[in-house]
Amino acid sequence: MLNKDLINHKFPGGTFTIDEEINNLIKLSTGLDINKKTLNEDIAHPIFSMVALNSIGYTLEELFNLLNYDVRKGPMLGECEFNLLDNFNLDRNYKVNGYIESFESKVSKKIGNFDIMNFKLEITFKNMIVSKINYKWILPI
Amino acid sequence: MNLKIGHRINQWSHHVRQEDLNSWSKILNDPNPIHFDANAVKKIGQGDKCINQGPANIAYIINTIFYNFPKCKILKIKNRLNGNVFVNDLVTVSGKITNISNKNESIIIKLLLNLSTQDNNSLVVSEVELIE
Repeated sequence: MLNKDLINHKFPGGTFTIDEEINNLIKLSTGLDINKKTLNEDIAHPIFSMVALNSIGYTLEELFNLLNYDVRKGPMLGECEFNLLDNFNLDRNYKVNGYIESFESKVSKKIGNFDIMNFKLEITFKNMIVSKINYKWILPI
Repeated sequence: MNLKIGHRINQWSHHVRQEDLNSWSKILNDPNPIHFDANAVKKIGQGDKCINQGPANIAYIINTIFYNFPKCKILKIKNRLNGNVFVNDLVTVSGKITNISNKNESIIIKLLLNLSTQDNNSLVVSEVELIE
């Protein structure tokens, strides 16, 4: 049974730094030419809004354990929305915080009964918000 | 770029290789074997090819935005993920301008983008807002 008492549960949080190597790895693995000069070489790929998911203080496996949810049921990322208030820059240390906002119970023809877990993350640099992210995870029952 | 509502943007494509999935496992610190072991995918009944990481699919959406609007600043992206991209898929992102407005001296553009492969359409549908 999913532990729905975790509404408003705050993640331990964490930090990440974007170095040139990891930024280039993202470019290369998504078909971009790392030798092609961009307007500002210090700006990192905006996908770090999502990469930050591994800096919430839990691994996804730990998060699902906390929820008392069996990952063998196949949790899926259903929706991800991010609002970018600033660019990500190389060699900066970003802070990640987040919490579980809500759960919803739904039924679909395709996967039957499932729960939706909504959680929010905030990425900051020196207390200034860089990105706000809303996630919807689909948790088949 | 022709800035008109309804104008279709230039498509962007990428051939997904196993080495890309391996890189994303490293980037995300994600040990899930469905990204590098086809047998793990078979076990969960999702086919027989390794599954691409969701954030990589969103990165393709972002690459398409910058391909079309190299100087833009992305304000917001809302992505709905409807299915999986697999290794060796040819991903294509297409879309159109849905709204144009002016704010101060900037142009705010809204896009509706659609990520498809050779086998499936609308695997990711994204609503984008950017400043040009």
